[in-house]
This record gives sequence, C-alpha cells and structure tokens, in this order.
Amino acid sequence: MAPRRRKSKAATTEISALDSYLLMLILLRLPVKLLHRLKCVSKRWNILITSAFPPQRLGTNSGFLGFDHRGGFGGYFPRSHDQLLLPPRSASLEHAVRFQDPDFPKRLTSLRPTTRPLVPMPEDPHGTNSNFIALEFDPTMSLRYKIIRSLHTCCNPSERVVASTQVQQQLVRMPFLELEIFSSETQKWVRKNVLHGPHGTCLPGHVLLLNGSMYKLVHPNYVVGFAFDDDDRRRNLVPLDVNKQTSVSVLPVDDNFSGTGCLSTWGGWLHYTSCDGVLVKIWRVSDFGNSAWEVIHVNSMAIMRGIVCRDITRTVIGGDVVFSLAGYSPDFKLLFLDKEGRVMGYDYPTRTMHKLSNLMPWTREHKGYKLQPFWPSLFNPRKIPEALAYTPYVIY
Amino acid sequence: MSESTEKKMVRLRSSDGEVFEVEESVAKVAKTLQDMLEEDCADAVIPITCVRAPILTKVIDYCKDQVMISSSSSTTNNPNERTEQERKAWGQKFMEGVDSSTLCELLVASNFLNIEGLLNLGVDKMVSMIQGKYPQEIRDMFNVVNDFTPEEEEEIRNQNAWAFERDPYYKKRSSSK
Repeated sequence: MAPRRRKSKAATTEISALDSYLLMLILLRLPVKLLHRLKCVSKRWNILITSAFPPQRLGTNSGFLGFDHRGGFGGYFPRSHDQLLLPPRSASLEHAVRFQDPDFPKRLTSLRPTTRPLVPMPEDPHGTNSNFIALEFDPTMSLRYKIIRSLHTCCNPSERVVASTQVQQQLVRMPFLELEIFSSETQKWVRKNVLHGPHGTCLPGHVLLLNGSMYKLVHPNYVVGFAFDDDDRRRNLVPLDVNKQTSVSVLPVDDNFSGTGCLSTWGGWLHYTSCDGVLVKIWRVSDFGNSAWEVIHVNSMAIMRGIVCRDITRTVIGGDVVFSLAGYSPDFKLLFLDKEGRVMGYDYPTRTMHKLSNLMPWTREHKGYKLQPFWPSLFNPRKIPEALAYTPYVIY
Repeated sequence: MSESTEKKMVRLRSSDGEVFEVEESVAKVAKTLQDMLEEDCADAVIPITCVRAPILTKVIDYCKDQVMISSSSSTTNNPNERTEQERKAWGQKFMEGVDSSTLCELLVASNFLNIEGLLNLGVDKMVSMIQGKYPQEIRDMFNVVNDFTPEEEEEIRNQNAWAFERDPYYKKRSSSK
C-alpha cells in the first residue's frame, strides 16, 4: 500500500514538495536582486528568503570597491557576504582575492552585485598613479554605481596618525576638492569640483558614497553631504547640491571628535571612526536632513583597539527591541540596562541579533565585571519610543 | 558477463516496487547506501521508499558513470579521463531534457541517497532554470500556487520595486549587439 501512495504523491512532485533545505540550496546560489523579486512567488518563498536574508542584512548590501592609499586595488567587498553570498558561491569574495594580484591594477574591473558579471572599467586617463577613493552603493537603492577619486595627492594614513595636525594644515590651503566621478550609467569619468569646508581635510576614505549621495568630512565639527546625480535625487538624500556648492546639513559633534578618522557607511548609516579606533559615531542618514542623529561614544575601548568598526543598530520587531551588532569582539558581553540603570540581562556578542526577551538573567556572579557605557545618550529622546529606552552596556 | 557475476550485486527497490540490480561499487557512490553496505545491514533488497523507478534509473546511470570515471582514472593516460570542461559538458548533457518535476524528484533522491555530485548538478540546473525569471514565470514553471492576496503581493512587490527594474546598463549592451 505504501508504495502506491508514494507514487501518486510523487507524480505531482514539484518545487513546492522540496524540503526547505533543498530549496535553500538553490536560493543561496541566486543573485540578491533575483531573490528580492522571487519573494512574490508564494508565502513560503517569501518566508524562506526573508528568513535567510533578514531585512536588516539585506539593507546592508552595500558593497564597495576598496582602494588602498597607494592606489592599489583592494577588490570588491560585499558588506555582509557571510549573509548574502554564503560559502558555496562567495564569488565576490573570490574576485576580491584575485584582485590583490600585484599585476592586476593595470586595468580595473568592478563586480556588480546585482548581476554578478565583472565589468571592465575604462582606461585610467591619469595612468596608474591617481588616487581612487571609493565606490560605494546600495543595490537596494540604485542599480548604478559610481566611483570617485581625488585628483589631489592624498597622504599616507600611517603618516596621518603621527602628524595629523601637520597634514591638516597642509590641506587647508586647498579651496576645492577636485574629484572625478565614474558613473556606471554613462561609463565616463566626469570631473567635479566640490567646495571644501573651512578646515578641509581630504584624506582617503573621507569621501564616500551612500545610496548615491556623497559624504565628505570637511571639518572636525561638520559632516557635509553631497548629491550629484538626478537619479539619486529622487531618493531624498540630497544634503548638498554640488552645483550650488552650499552646505545643507551640518552635524555638530563634541570635543572628542578628532577629525582624522574615516567615514564609512553601513546599511543606511553613516559612521565616523577615529583613526585609532577609539571613537565611533553613527549618524542615521535617513534623518540627515532633519539634523537628527545618534552618537555612540566608545571612549574606553582601548582594549579593543584594532577592531575598528563596531556598530549597534536597533530595530523594533513585534514589540521586541532587536540589537544587531557588527564587528564585535569575542571577549565582551552586551549588557542591557533600563532607564533607571537597572540591569535587564545580558547577551553574548557571538549572536548578532539580540532580543530583549531572550536575554540571560543577570545574577550576582557577574558583579565582578566592569561596566563601560556603550550607548549613553540619544540626542533626541522625544523621538524614541519607550521600548527603545534601554541602554546597552559592554562588559569586559 | 563473467566479470559482472564475480562482483557482488546489490538489489534496490524503488517506491513503486521495481527492483534494480546493480554492482556494489555502483551502489557505493551513494553515501547512504555505502554506509548501509559497510554495516552489512543490506543483505536483502534495499527499499528506497521515496524514489520512483524512472528517477532511480537516472540515479543509477549517474552512479555507473561515476564508477567508470573513477576506475578509469586510476590507470594513467586513460582516454576516458575527463577535463573540467568535459565534465561540465557531460553534466549538462546528463541534465538535458530533464523537466522541472523530474528535476525536483532527482534532487530529493540525491539528497536522500547523499550523492553530492548529483545534488550539485541538480541544483545548478535548477539555478539556471530560475535565473532571470519573474515570479509569474516561476509559478508557471514549477506549479507553485500563489497564496498571496493581490494586495499582499502588491505590497511585497512595492517593497522590492528595485528588483523588478531592468538593468539599464545591461539593456544597453544587449541592444547594441
């Protein structure tokens, strides 16, 4: 009897009969863009895709092309390749490795995360000696990538640490920042002059693209954004109009802001990391125009020096506050306190997602830990719902 | 003939009752069967309950080929030995003409029998079938029932609108050809 029943069932075997493991095997090999599209197929597909690639992660799918300070090509690094391009086909990472070949930089090639083929870039009109800065884009926001490079000589980041003031003085004299922007749409390099701030520091990594807008650190107390493309203007991320060369958004920061670190982006957030990795600041770029921002002080992170990028984002999912953590070190725990400073519990940073409901209970045996404030203040408390008023602490 | 009788034979029964007799070496390509044979718990017919006869035939074809390759590659300078390219071409040929439902059954079978190579072939084929498709095409191809209400589907579509956009660069290149 059993085989007969099997047969009639098997006769209608279709993709929906595959168990989730098999379906995941297939989905993991598909490009990210297609996966987004396939969410519409059915509820099961939607659940599978969103569970494997949670929206927080998908949102951070901004890959970037890295160039080191000597103009060497670092390759394409997907921001969260561990999530998006799981081991079977981490094609982008392979390419990144291949590009580190010393013979490679003669001709640049970029990898497009949406379609995966490698697109050769045009010949470099300035030889191999020009200073590339960054390529950064989020394929969820725009299909087109842009590469910008500075036509000025940039200084070596290692010198910068030693003689940062000297370097700044040297760079102050530059009234304009000369950039060339390569758009994947037009396939051409376009020269742009961008107004510097009053105390301009133009260092590699200081200019970056996020969702089609360009951000540049121009003053220890300001972050200025630029937008330079009509296509991106519809995304409402236009802190500054390059043609008018006026600053729109100015973010005041406190005294600890050294002005010699680098800006980076992560999932719609703009980060500032000081050169020694001691201080991290995070701006929420979607609120950029409203001058709302969040700042994270990590003043006492000396122990964790070397781990430059650490960031916590939090979202509310179903009434739960979910903290996600990136660039964490294995030797600390996240401790959550409520508004009055009472310990709510702790969680291990080995998990990237922290739900308040899943926290470990806090007991006496933990009292030996030294508490370090990790997220002491939010600048606009009125905007933050009650559920968000927990403060994560780091324990060493 | 005399050669095959020397070898130990294994009998496999598909879900619809058909019995296949294969050499032990062929059966051992499947890791699940290998484990069973090594533990000597497969004296009689091995029932493979989730695989139908036509699928099992295909699986056995694959296993036989694997055995042929491995036995021939042990002797040096063998003309049967395949390069990477030939292997790819062979895999494509093997999967040629396989429709989506057979493919799904093949995947289930190779997963059950733990044949990594066949599973990879199947997944590759499936990926090539899905590549570049739109949701409706997927539903048609695999008979997936759309259990979204039109509003729900519209919402998900709007959330992921960027994924439905045509790639302008891609279009430009293909039209210029």
